[in-house]
Amino acid sequence: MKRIKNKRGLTFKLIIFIFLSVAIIFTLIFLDNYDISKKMVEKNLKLNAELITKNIVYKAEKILGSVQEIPNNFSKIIEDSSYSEAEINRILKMEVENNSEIYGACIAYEPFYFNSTKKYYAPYYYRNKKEIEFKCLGNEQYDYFIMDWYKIPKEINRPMWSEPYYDKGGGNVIMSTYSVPLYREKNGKKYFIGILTADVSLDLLREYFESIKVYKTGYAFMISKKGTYISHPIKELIINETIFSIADAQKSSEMRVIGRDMVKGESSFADTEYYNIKYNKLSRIAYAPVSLNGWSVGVVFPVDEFMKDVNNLFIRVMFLGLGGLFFICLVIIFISRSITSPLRKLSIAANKFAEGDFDFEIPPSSSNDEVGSLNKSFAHMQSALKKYIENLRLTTSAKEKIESELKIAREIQMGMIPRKFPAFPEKKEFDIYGFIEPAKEVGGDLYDFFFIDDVRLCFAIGDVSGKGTPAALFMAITTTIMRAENQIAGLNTSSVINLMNNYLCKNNEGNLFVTLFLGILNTSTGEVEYINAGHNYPFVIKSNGAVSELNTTHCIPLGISINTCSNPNTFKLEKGDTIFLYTDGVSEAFNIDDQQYSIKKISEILHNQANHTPFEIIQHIIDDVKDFSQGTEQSDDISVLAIKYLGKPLSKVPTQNYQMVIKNSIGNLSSLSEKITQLCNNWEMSSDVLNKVNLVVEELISNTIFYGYSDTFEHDIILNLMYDESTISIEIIDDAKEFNPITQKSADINSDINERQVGGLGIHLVKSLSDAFTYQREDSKNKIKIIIQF
Amino acid sequence: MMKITNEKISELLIIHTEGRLDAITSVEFEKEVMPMIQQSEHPVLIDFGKLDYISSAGLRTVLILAKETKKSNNSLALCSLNETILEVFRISGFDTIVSIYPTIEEWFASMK
Amino acid sequence: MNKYERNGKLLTCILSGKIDTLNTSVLENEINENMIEDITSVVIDMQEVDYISSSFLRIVIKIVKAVSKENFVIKNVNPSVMKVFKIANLTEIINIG
Repeated sequence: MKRIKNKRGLTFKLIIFIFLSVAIIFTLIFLDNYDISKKMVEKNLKLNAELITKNIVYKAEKILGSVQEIPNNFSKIIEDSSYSEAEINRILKMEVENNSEIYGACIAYEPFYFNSTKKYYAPYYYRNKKEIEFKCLGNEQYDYFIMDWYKIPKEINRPMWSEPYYDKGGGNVIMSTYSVPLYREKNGKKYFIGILTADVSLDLLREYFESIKVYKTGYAFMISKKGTYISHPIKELIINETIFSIADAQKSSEMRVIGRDMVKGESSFADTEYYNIKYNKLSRIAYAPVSLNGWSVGVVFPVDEFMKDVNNLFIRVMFLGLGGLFFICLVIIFISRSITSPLRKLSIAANKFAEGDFDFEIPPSSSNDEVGSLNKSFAHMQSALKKYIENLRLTTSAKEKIESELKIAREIQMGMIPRKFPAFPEKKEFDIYGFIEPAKEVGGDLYDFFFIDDVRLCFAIGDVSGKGTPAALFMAITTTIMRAENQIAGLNTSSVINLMNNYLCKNNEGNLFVTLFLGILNTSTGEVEYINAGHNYPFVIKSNGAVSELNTTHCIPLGISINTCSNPNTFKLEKGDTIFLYTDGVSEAFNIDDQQYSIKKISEILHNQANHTPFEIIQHIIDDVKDFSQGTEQSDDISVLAIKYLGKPLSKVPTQNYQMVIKNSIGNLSSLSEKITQLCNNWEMSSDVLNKVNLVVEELISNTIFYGYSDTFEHDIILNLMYDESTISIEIIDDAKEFNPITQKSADINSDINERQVGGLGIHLVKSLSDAFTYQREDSKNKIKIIIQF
Repeated sequence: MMKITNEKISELLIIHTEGRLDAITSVEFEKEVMPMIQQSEHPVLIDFGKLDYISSAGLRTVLILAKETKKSNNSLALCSLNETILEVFRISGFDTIVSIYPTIEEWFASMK
Repeated sequence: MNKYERNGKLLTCILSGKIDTLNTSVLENEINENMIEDITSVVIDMQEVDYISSSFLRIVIKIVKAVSKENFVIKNVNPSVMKVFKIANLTEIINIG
């Protein structure tokens, strides 16, 4: 039931919609039907009612007619003038005696007609219990000439029935006096002699009316010309009330209207319904006049009875309808269950699927309808997805395995390349900086530098063809051999190169080769001896800003064939000159329009770099390349190496060292600043340098504090300050998240003010104020070292 | 993206290359061209007239193909290199490993 | 103690001391409170300021974006503070003297 009651469920919706539609249609048809049936019944009723009423009137007239025959006959006899008084009276007595319905009879003569001495002469015989008694009516107190029963028939020249009354004897017999005008003919002319009356019992009439059956609770009644009830099932009303008095009592205007019509002698089947007097039930009434005497018959038809059949039909149809609706509900429930049940199962299966349970069984559906086909599709999808995900899992785990191996290989590789700067802080004759950024996969670029003796620095940059682990291994071998061979002092570059080449050619199944530029700088003279085995020509930046290329290729790349490399070249680096080496990852960096960065561009940038340190030069180039290739993935390793010759060093000055440990709370910055200020004052540094140091420290450490930690624990940040005569170096070591400020793209200081971002300025400041800036990630710690020269 | 077509002119095989020879396309290049070279008993020319770019991986492939032709006592030459690619060959010294001709006609002429 | 003067549509800020990461947020609040809707131009007098860091630069950039560069002047900047502005290339954009 819960499922059915679910207000959003299919079953519920169907039930509501279909049910409501069917119910509405059914109700409309039914009401229309009822309306039509009712009209049909009414029509029938009308006919019936009129017939019944006519019938009753006919019978009533028959009864009345037969009763009034007796006085009519007697009047004829009396009009025959030959009778004497005694004879007339005897006839009168006989009239009463022989007719049980006649309770009394009287002949009231015109004044002085019968006897010239008697004004009033009205012999009257009446029944008193079992005897017939005689009375003579008429005297001054009882002036019958003015009474209705005398006056009216005389005027209208015809017999008349009086208003009904209860008998004079005190019984319950309803009586009416029938008055017949009497005439005698004399000389051809008719003249009025008096009235013959007969007090007639209306019992027969009453009996007849009481026997009338109209449906079950219907009835007939009769009223007089004045509306007085002559016959009615409620006996108290007879004679005592008129239809009008009852209409008033009931405050029924319908009844009054009907009464007026009946008294007028109309006949009709009233359209209006009223509450009948006997049972207070809603009824319709038919009426017709008794033409004999102007009385009127009304027949009352209770609505509920004549509508009984229609109402029964109504109830029957309604029950059938409800039963039908109920049945429809059941059918709907059944059908929708057959749809929603599999759908629900599919939905559960889909949820399980989403949770990763691919083995959850989908119940089989044997139906061929849409639900069944959905089921089949779902099962198909489930098995297809299972296979796909399994495949993906295998491939991904294989890929991850490879990637983790590559990661390790790269770490090893990076470990072999010197990345600690300043590399030789104690050597003042030159400044060296190198930078390598491998492409996604393990790269084959390398640079290296090392002293082969006190004075001579060997440096090299190279590029192994291809990528991946074989290239990396090849590169590792190259570096190792180069160092090993160079240990033998006295060897020059070409012998070193040839030895390396020989070694690399052996066992080189993969046909790898490495381009290499190998140079040896004599740090006391500035002389450089170099050999180029197929590598990009390095640039030399003179102190006056002129840029040139060392455009000699001495031999093909190493590892291809055993051949002798031609003799090396030499040139001299003057004080302030810089040699700039790079690999083709720089010159062949692509932008989104597939254009290369190009050697020309490198040359252009180097033109302005004469006064800059190797660090600055390399920073500049790297920034520019990154800018250029934004939006594309790095396709090749980027390596650069720069050496600036500074000439003979100044005399050595002992260095000062100071270490502080700070907790990673921003509030500590102010005390830190005080300590640094004090320290720098002790070391007698200018305020300009002091400001630089403060700024660099503040920017880097606040960066670390704000962005470096994702937990809320206390962390230590170590700050080392070292000072000698011409430089101060700042080292910051923290265990925050890996963050290399060098590779972070500097804030764009050239964009329009409206587009300037607020981020990255700190790092930009630091880089601009530093003369050298190195970063290392070691033992899960960030190590940043800044050198400021003064 | 790279496209290769070949033609034979009186038993001399010319392989026309279009597009780029980088780390990705050079694998495909080697796969397609190697059998052609192995099956040819006569000199082979690779036409780089429509080659836009070559990286060290491409150089390596040229080296491998050159070595292959040497094995079968054959010869491999290149022609119609554009200025940049020519410079790459010069700097890397590869112009001494494989013969380079400016046009197909000049190579033909040298065959006589 | 920083002082602020409002003259009609002009806001003058006279800052003093060190402006570093720590006290920048306080400064920012003070400036925000004083930068009511009427204010369409701002002058910052840095006579008494001997040190700024990048967090101050952020406030400066925010002010420029709010009132635009024609309505913004920074004056009496000492050489080491000026150097910071130069490195951030703000001297080309804002009237700094």
